[in-house]
Amino acid sequence: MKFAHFKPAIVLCSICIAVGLLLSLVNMLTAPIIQAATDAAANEALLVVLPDGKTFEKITIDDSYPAIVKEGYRSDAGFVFQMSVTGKSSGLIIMCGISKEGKIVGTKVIADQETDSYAAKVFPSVEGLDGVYKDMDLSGFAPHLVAGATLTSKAYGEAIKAALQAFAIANGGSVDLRTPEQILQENCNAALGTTGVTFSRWFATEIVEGIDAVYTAADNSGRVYVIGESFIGVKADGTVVNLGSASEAVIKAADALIKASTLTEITTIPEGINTKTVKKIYVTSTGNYVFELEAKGYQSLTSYGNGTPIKIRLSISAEGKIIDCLTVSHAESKGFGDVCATEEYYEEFRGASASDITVSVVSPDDHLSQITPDNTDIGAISGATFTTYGYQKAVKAAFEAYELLIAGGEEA
Amino acid sequence: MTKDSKLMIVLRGIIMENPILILVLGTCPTLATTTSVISAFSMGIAATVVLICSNVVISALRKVIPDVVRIPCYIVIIAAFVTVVQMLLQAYLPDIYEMLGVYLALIVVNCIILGRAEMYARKNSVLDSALDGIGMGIGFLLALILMATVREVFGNGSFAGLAIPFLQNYKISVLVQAPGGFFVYGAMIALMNLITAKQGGVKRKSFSCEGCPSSGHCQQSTACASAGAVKPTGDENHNEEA
Repeated sequence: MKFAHFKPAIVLCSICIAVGLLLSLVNMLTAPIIQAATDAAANEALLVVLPDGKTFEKITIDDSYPAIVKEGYRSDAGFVFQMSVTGKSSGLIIMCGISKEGKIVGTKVIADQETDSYAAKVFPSVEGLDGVYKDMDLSGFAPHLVAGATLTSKAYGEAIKAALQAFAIANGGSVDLRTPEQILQENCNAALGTTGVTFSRWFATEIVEGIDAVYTAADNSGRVYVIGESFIGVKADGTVVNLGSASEAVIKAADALIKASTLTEITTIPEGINTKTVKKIYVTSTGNYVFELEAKGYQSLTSYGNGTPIKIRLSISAEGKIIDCLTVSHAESKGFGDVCATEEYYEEFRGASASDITVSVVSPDDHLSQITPDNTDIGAISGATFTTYGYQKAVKAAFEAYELLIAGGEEA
Repeated sequence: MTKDSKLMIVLRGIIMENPILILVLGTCPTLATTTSVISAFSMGIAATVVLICSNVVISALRKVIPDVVRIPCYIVIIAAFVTVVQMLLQAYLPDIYEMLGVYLALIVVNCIILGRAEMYARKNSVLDSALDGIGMGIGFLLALILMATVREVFGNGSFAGLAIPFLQNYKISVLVQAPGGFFVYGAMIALMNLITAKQGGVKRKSFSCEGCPSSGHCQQSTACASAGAVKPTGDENHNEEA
């Protein structure tokens, strides 16, 4: 083999080695300066939210911190935490400075992919050293929700709350990081003496006196009755457990009523009832009505939607008042129309009569946000005109059906 | 190949073989960085440093580097100098480093630098190559500054970041956008053609090696011309766009 065959490879390798050495040398010279500049820039960002901090020391964020807290820095003036949350889009990174006393000093959005209009609605009021969260501590924390930018403002609030929780943890405190749903499930399991059983809210077809809410176990092991902050279990065999200070008579009466309640479908729907909306009607053994409704919301009324209706279950007492309301399924927009599937939304309807229900808009418009935040109509969702319109019309249709059923003395 | 005086080597890069306005090389960074005079100046200086250094090293190694691996060798050498410039800028001039962004790293594939390595440095002495690098670098820098001045002054109503009161109210915003960049670039090339044409200079309309501004340094120009070739073959793509 001749040397000439290897010469190109040898020369190229030699040049690469020489270049590598040169770059190593330059890197040795510049790396400390670049690192110092990077640290200074990071410190500068931290000072924006905690101006009194002099030097910042990075702390370890382990599993005991809320999952959305990504970084933490300790300073002589307090702490700075960096959170990553998902608003309308993922990648909303927020920095929050907290004083030694545990109060918010300042907040700042480091990076975001939020829609400009939502960001403009939320960020100016919450960012900086004079935002709405200033001086708020964990005990007095209240999220600042902005109508029309619910997801963005909610995510911002979650980030701030997580920062306050992280502050407590960093100071050796303990914080309950469970979600309200997790707490509810754990309370129900504790009341019934079970472990890991999933509970779901019982859709009320009867008016149960003295009870705030009822949850049924997925494995049929019993029910849990909620009175105030007390969770009382009733096993499948009727044994009451964890009664506490509650009245056993009230619990047993409620349980007996629920057990006795039966639903019978009205197969012949009277004329005049809007069957496009009212799909099924049931009557209970005590004369209450349950309606299965299909409402046209954003997905059905706009050209952007996929036609999916909002399926609603509504119970109306024999006296003409809404007992319970449930959105069975929907595909309404996240952060807007999906409010229609929350407990707070159902609560608006409970106890309402026909005269209380009004349809907030005559006709929804694609280009107008017709439901304003100050609208107090039952079922009005600011920023979700189409969902509001469809939902209110469906409930109205249920009441019209109820009136016809009462007038006709309809039997199953 | 004709032997030029040292001064001519430098001057040629500035006017008669200006890399931007005559050779039409390095168009991408030219359009991208001429939205402001400061970024254009920074890019010009960075490219000039890389051009001079790479020309010198390639010329010094011209008898060592085998022909079959010359392009990879040039790329490695150019990339090394670009990385050095990058690291130095990041350490000592971080604002400029941020301003130039990805275009700083893209100097590696700048046609001017690779073109001068291939067309000049590999065939000439170290001193001549250094002078060629200086001339080409200055030509590149001046063209960038001239173009950036037009775009920033009339497009943004400022010069080197300093607002010009009267022009602030009469900005031609399109000039700082891509279409405006092409327009200014085209107008400058037209102006350069006019000036050189009056002096009987570069024959840019002739699509052969004879019309190429670099034909004096190209080993194949005679062969191409005698064969009546429309386009040089092999690696002699003198006017290839950036």
